[in-house]
Amino acid sequence: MGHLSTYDFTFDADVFKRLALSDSGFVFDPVTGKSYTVNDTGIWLIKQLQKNPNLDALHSQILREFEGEATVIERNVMEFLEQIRQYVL
Amino acid sequence: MIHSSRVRIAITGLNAKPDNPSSGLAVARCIRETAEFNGKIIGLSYDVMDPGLYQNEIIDSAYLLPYPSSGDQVLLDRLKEIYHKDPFDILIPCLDAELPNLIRLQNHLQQIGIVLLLPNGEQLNRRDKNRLPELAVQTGVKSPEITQISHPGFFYTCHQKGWQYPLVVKGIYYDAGIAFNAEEAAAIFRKIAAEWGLPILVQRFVVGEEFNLTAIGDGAGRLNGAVMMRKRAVTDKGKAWAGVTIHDEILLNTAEKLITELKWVGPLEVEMLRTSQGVYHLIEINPRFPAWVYLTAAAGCNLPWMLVKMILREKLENQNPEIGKYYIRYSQDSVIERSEFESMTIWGQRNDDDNNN
Repeated sequence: MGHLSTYDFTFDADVFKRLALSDSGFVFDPVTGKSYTVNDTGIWLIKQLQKNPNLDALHSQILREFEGEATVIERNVMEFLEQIRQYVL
Repeated sequence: MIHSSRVRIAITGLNAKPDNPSSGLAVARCIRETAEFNGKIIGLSYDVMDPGLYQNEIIDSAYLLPYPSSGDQVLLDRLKEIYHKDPFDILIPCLDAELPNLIRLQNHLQQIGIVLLLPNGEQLNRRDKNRLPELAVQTGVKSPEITQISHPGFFYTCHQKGWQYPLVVKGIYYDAGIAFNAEEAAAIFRKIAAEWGLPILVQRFVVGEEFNLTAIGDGAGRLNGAVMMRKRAVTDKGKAWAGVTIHDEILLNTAEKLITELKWVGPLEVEMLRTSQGVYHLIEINPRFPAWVYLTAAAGCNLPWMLVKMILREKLENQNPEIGKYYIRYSQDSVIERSEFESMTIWGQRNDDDNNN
């Protein structure tokens, strides 16, 4: 079990589902009116969380999808989720 | 009854100052751009420098009115004079301060053929800024404490009564400022009092983001055509300079509670602050369309046009506003012919004859 799956990240799955996500990386929240920009990896991560807002599933999916050292990937993902917590949730 | 496509509509509130515009010109624009509208728009305003008086592409003819403080009879006489010269079927007031006079004159105006959709005096008073906390308690909505003062000495002793800075200093009708200490508060007090008079209101400061909802109350407790907007940029007066349409069920339900309690009739704007915990606090209920009302037409839910159809008892179409529609306000110089300015200064009017000359 990696760090990501034990990471304390609670959120309302509906928040991810409602986000309007463009392929350009423009993210619009129709409830708060806030907008953000994310890179290609961010787009991929938000899409995964929209499909299945489960960190265990996200963890497995990341390890299948990306090459690199697992701990580094997990740290980057955790940083991204922290930013999401700060801005979106 | 006349059909909406040919109706003649008088609209007030044309003082479209860039940093704090009234909504009249935006209301007129919404109606003018309605494809089925082929009627007439008559602008009514108070000052020859109000730019909306001269917007020939939107306003067909325009007239000056006496200020509300002149009293009911003076206003009624002037409206009758304008009506006999340039008849209109509907009057849409766009300034808070006009409402008390027009509510009292509503029956007189209907007798000569002018129809308005307005709340009654009690409904209007219950959403006064200093009575909002009372309304909030009755509806289970949160609203910051507010108190009414008539002397700036309050700001130097208010900590003894549990008031802390920052706090919000507001005029009874217009204008507001955030004060971080007693000196700032007293300065805002004097500025607002000089422009709008006493009393002045003091409201506890809530940290949050500003969300507004505009709609039309049907008098039976329901909202027609609610459009919600989050401010994306504000002027130094806190007025929206840019915004985006949103949809938040919590905001909608909160507004519905207020409107159901008031059984509100006519246009309104509900101003709320949303804290980082997602809790809405009621800040103001304005008894008219907001200056950003053109966004409702741009988002496909043209509220001024809906109001016209409600007044004429025509069938309303269910229009859901497009979410994620942005607006950014800008200012533009209007060029006015000397003859137009002269006519407004001397005769208090600009009518079709002036345009054709």
